[in-house]
This record gives sequence, C-alpha cells and structure tokens, in this order.
Amino acid sequence: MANILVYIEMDGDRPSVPSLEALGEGRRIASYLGATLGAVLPCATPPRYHEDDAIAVLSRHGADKVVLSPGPDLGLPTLHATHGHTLAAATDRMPPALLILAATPGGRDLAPRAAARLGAAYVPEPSVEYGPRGDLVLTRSVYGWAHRRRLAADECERPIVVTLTPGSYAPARGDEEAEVIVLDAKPQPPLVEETARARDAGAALDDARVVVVAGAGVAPEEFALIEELASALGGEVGVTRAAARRGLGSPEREVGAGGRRVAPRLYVACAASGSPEHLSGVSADAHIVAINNDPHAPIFRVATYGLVGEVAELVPRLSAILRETAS
Amino acid sequence: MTTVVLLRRLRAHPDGSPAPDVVGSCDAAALAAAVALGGEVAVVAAGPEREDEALRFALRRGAGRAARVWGDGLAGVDYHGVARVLAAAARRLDAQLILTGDSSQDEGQGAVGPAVAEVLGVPHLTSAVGVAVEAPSVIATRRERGMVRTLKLPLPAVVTVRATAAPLPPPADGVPDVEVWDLAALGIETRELKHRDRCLGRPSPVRLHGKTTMLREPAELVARLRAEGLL
Repeated sequence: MANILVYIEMDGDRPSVPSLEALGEGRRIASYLGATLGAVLPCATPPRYHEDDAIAVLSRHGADKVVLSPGPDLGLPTLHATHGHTLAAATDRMPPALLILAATPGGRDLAPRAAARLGAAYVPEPSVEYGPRGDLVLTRSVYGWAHRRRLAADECERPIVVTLTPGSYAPARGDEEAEVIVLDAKPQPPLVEETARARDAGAALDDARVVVVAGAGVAPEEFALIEELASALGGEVGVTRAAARRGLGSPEREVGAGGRRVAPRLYVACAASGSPEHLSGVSADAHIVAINNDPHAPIFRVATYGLVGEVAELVPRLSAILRETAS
Repeated sequence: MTTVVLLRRLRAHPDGSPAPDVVGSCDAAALAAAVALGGEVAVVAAGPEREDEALRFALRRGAGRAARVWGDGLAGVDYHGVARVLAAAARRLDAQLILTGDSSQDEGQGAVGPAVAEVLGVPHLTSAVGVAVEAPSVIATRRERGMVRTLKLPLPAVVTVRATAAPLPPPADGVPDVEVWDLAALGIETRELKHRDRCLGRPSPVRLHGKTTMLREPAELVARLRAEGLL
C-alpha cells in the first residue's frame, strides 16, 4: 500500500496548527486513495515525555503511523539546515508516494530540497481536488493567477511533494491508536546557527484573515483611506511593489513575489492593476475584491467581486457602511 | 571569493503576451545582493539563446562574467535537470556562495535553488531578505513567525533571496560577452537529464475566466461578503 507522509512542525511541545491541517488533508487523501498515512514527528533523543502527548495528538488527528525521527533540540527554527536529516531518515524508511508539508517558512525551506532528494515532482501550494475516477488532481496558479497548471497524480510516475497553505484545510479526526515507529538514525548537528533576532514589523500580514492592499494608483493623500478600510474590516494593510516604490506604507508591508506572501480569506486590492509580481504573493484561495477605475485592469479577471471607480470615492463609502452595519 | 548568481529570463505568458521584465524581482534581488557583497560575481543560466538577455542584464549591472549552458538534452527538462546543469556550472566557476531568486513571478515554483544545493551536497537557506558574508560563513536574515532571524550558515552554500536593501547598480556599457558552454564541457550526458516537464502538470496552462461578479455599490459588496461569511 502506498505511503503518504506528513511532516509535523512543532509549536513549542505541540504539533503546530498548520501541520495538523496538513495532516487533516493527508487523512482525506489517504482515505480516498486507500493509502497509509504517516506523521513524521521530529524528536529529541532519547524521546521525552511530551512526545507521548504529541503521538496521542497525531493519533486523534488521523495518523495511521507516527514516525519518530531524531532531530535537533526544540527551539531551533525548522529549516533544511536543522531538520533536513530528520525528514530524510523518515522518507528513507517509509518511501512516500506523496509527501505533504505545511507551507510555513520552515515547510517551504524543507519541501523543495526533500523533493530534489526524492527525485519527486514538486507542487507548492496547490488546491487539492478529488477526481471522479478516484484520482487526485493538484492545481496551482501560475503567472500571477492568470493561468493554472493541473497535475493529475496518477499521470505522474514519481513521488509528489506538496506544501499546503496554512488556514485552508481542516484538521481531521481519528479514533485508532497510531502505530509508532522509532527511527534509530543518529541526530545530526544543525548546520545553521541563529546569531540575532529582531521583531518583524510586517508580521501581522502573515496570519491576517483580511488584507487591504494599496496599489500604484493610490495617491499618498489617499493612503489613510486604505488604512481606515483595513481597520473597519479588522484586517491589515499591505502595499504593492509599485506603491512601495512611491513611498506608500513601509517596505515590510510589501506584498508580492519580492515581498511577503499572504494567505487571507479576503483580499481587497485598491487601485492595483493585478501584475504577476503582485499576485504571486497572494495565496490562490483568497477571495479578491478589486477596486479600480480601469474596468479593463487585469485584476478584474481574477477577482471574486469588482467595483469600478475611484478609491477616493468608493473606499470611504465602503468603510462607512462597514462601520454603520457592524453587528 | 566568487559568488555565482543563477538567473532565468522571465517567460512570456502562455497566451503570448511578453514578460513584463527581463528577470524576476527575486532574481534581481539576488543579483543586487551579490554585487553588494563585492568580490567576483558570475551569473549562470541554463537554456536557449533568449537567456542571454537575462545574462546581459546582469553583466550591465555589476556581474563580471556570464555563462549560459545549452544543449539539446536540456529542452523541456524539469527542475532536477536544470539543477544538475546549474550545479555543474557553479562548480566549474568555483563558487563559494550561490545566490538565486526565491521564486519567480511566472512559474513561482522555487525549487531550483534547493535542488542545486542537493546536487552539490551543501546547505541551503530559502527566502532571505538580507545576505552578508563573514568568511567562512554566510549570514542571512529571514522572516519567520513574527521575527526577523539572522542565521549563519557555513560556506559553500546556496541562499535564495526574496528581497534586499541593496539597489541594483545603474546599467553600464562595454561589458564582456556571454560564454556559451555545452553539456559535454560540464561532463553531463543527455540521458542523465531524464525527467521531463510533464510532472509540473499540463504544459499548456488553463486560463481562468469569467468568474468575477461586477458590482455597482459598496453596500451591495458588503451584503455579498456578509452572506458568504467573508466578513
């Protein structure tokens, strides 16, 4: 029977929420395809008490097997340079047809390298569809939402490595106690050393459920309107590269290929044309609301809802209605 | 010290419209970071002649040497094959530090940098927003869980760059030619590059169309968003 492996990142001494979401989708895929679902749990050597709790959590969330793989001490960031051997030992023991990681900063560092090592196809942050013939279809947006690539898993002759967007998948439940496999691989010293740490001024954007972004068409005196709309929506403010170059917002709040990646449910793009540079920083399952005075702007091809008009007129009206009708 | 930057010409849209820029914003940031480090900067691309445009872009902005690798066996290979070729080129250039963009705004896969590191058996770090060298280490900053973490990695290493504070130098004239290397010069046989592009998914992507609901009034938008549970 084919193996599906999910790499579990720890948040303190518990499996992280994005990893449990990835495990949940792994459970659904494994049940659909009749595969065995293994959770790869990095552990200190020798295993400590909290790992019993983590194993129980992973059982309750649908793992058939928990692979305890020696890793570095808790507290080091998840990266290939710290946890690569932890994952490699597990994929050597249980070669996966599908390896799933949460698309966290750590997961995105580990996943492509694991794919290269496995000779696998690599599909970052696809949407997962269950085909009519018992097949699995992975679709991802490319060229900044303008096109999609579609990979049918049964047409791929090699393993597949995917990352799943945090916040987009529900955890699953399991009743059976997972079988525990303890790997006796020797822990490797981390290749990386953390020498300093500072607060990230734009970090609130990473987990924001609502993001309002100012594009190149927002005038400096209109930026406060964008901030007011974000506040009325309980969301965060971002800027496109074109807007950031004109001095709007702060560089830490730039969204796009060279800025932050965001994965909100609702993304309000104000006077942004919808360039690939910009939209490749927005998770493909966000619902986009586009406000733009150009009815032919490319953003209207990918938005869920569109309003044609001036930011100075529409944005304050939108904020006012939200405030007035707030429950 | 030699820094090698791996570049790729942004691809034209599948519908035929040209790419808006020569190189992606992450690749441009990787080049800017390499030039700002000082030392020798060489740029490498794998592909047909159109890649020369990306390499000349880099030569005009501070790179001292450029090489393009091409051979029949490279057409249509996926990131594994590209990574093998780029790794061999970086080795030939005696690279201590290899920089490349974190992901491109066309395909956005972000696989080549880590795959090159895998071929070379060296450590890698993705998504850097700052790069410095303190031999024998590279120091990179990276955003994670509300923090900007400064991480030190031993050289040789691969670092993929998202952004950098260093601007690209203004374009200069009178730059050297792009060298063209064939696969044999790197000791690579065509049959080693076996994986083909199909595992990326269908080669002609599907266009998204016609799903936008155009509204007239902000009130209508608020009502729709509330009804869908998006607020």
